[in-house]
Amino acid sequence: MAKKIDYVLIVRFLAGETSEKENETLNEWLKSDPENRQAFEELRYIWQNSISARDHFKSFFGTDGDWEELKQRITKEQFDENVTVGNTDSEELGKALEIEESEVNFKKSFAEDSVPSPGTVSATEGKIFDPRSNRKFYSFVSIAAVFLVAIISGLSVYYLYDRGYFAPEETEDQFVLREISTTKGQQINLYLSDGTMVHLNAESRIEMPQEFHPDRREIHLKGEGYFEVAEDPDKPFIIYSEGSVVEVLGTSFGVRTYPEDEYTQVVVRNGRVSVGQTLTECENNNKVILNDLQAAHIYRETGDIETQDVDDIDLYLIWTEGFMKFRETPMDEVARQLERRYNVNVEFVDPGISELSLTAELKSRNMRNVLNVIAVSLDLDFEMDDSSVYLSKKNNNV
Amino acid sequence: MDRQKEQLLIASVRGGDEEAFAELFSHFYASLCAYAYGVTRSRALAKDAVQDVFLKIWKGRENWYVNGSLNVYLLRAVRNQSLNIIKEKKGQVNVEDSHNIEKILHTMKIKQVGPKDVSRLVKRIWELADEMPKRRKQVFTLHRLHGLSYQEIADFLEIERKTVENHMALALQYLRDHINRDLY
Repeated sequence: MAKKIDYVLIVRFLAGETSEKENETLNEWLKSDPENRQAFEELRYIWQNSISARDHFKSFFGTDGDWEELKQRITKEQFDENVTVGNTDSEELGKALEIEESEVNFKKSFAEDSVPSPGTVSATEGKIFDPRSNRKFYSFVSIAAVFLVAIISGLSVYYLYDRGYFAPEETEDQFVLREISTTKGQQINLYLSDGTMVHLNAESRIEMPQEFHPDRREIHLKGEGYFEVAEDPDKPFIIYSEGSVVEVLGTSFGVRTYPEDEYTQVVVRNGRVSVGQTLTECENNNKVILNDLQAAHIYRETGDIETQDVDDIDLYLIWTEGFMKFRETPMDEVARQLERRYNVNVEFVDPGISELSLTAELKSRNMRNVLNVIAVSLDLDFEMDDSSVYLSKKNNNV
Repeated sequence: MDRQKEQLLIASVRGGDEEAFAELFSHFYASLCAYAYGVTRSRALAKDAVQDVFLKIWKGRENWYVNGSLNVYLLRAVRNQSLNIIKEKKGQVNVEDSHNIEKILHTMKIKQVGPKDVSRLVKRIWELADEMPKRRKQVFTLHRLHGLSYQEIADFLEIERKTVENHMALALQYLRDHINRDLY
């Protein structure tokens, strides 16, 4: 009978904030009509499920690395003579949270230097070479470690839920391209509207339509990207790059196709990927299929495809964690990677360095540490200034 | 975490107990990041803001006292710090435009959490929350995601507790009216 629902009473009850008397009132209302009971159960179901989104925060803001990062910042501050201990009077939060001068400066330069457009962030800081600016360097590390995540928003809601409704208008917009690019020293994470994650390495670019085609998800890549493609058997995910096409249904893999590369390199962490020079080739019988831990080189000029098994995936994909790993890699290539990673020029003072090759795992995001390891393993010296790194052979009488 | 446990934790941090500080961090970090994300619209900036707050707390731990709810205290601190960061960044701030939970959820593989229909329901709930008037959405989010009580929400938003309850009631009514029956 009592069709009217007392929502305030219900939300008080669900939050456990009702009195005995209110509980009785609610109980009587529930007993008076099965429809009331039904409505109440629906509300309780919504209420209980609404909190499961909390679980997702932890995965979205992964906390393991962040705790380490905070500890590092603390350790750093403890050794930094310039730190003035803030006054944290709990009554005056504003005061407690005032930012110190140097941090303000950092934030400013961060803002000015590194926000050319939403969705990009500079992973390097111009002044990291100054040994006195350790604090800035630290901030650099934390940013490099985190990588900005840009979310291609808007697309999602319309595409998933209102597609039917907006369909006539959509087709017109379909050819509008969205472009995301990084410069040297930057990496970004993107989440596309279909749930696919793209980790874009430095000096790279992807282009895609404002909305994916209903039958397939297509993007164009220049540079290097790591993809975790959301599974969708009805809509293959297709990556076009110079002289190659990669087609997948749902998997994680890396594609590297910088302009100076002779070939496009595809490496599969898990799943199944087909590669070719053109889309037809990809979809026809003569396609090349890669499975877990396999890699392919698609040569741009000839179209030849070489495949190989991968014994160490880190050699291909450790860049996604901000590290570098080399095995018998020519120094010219090492230099190119350093330049991209840290936004510097790398110069060989001795031309002979070009003939050397490096085998090393560089598990530091700090460029000075990385250079130290390289220098020690190849018996080199290095010097740095604001924009360049100079490598020379030891005992070089210059 | 009840009030007594909170005070114990705060006292331990004040005494320099690193484990207590770690517990504080792991208990609140993700939730605070989600809040900061709503203000800064950037995961990196959100993390910066929250880490700044924890750094300040640790640096000033010897004089760290909290009156009232720890959750509200931290949310306030994170809000201030987030605003500082975007002020420096843009010179302008849209304070009202907080919370973007739907966007966070969008990036997640919800399917893996439970039966498919439940994850669709969760997603739908937060889409609808996104459509609610700002205040209502804030109230709903602070309660269901950040775990604040009605009184704590009233303190945090500086509104009447009765208003909070009314918003919550309207939010729940809105959800039930707009969720398709086949999601139950």
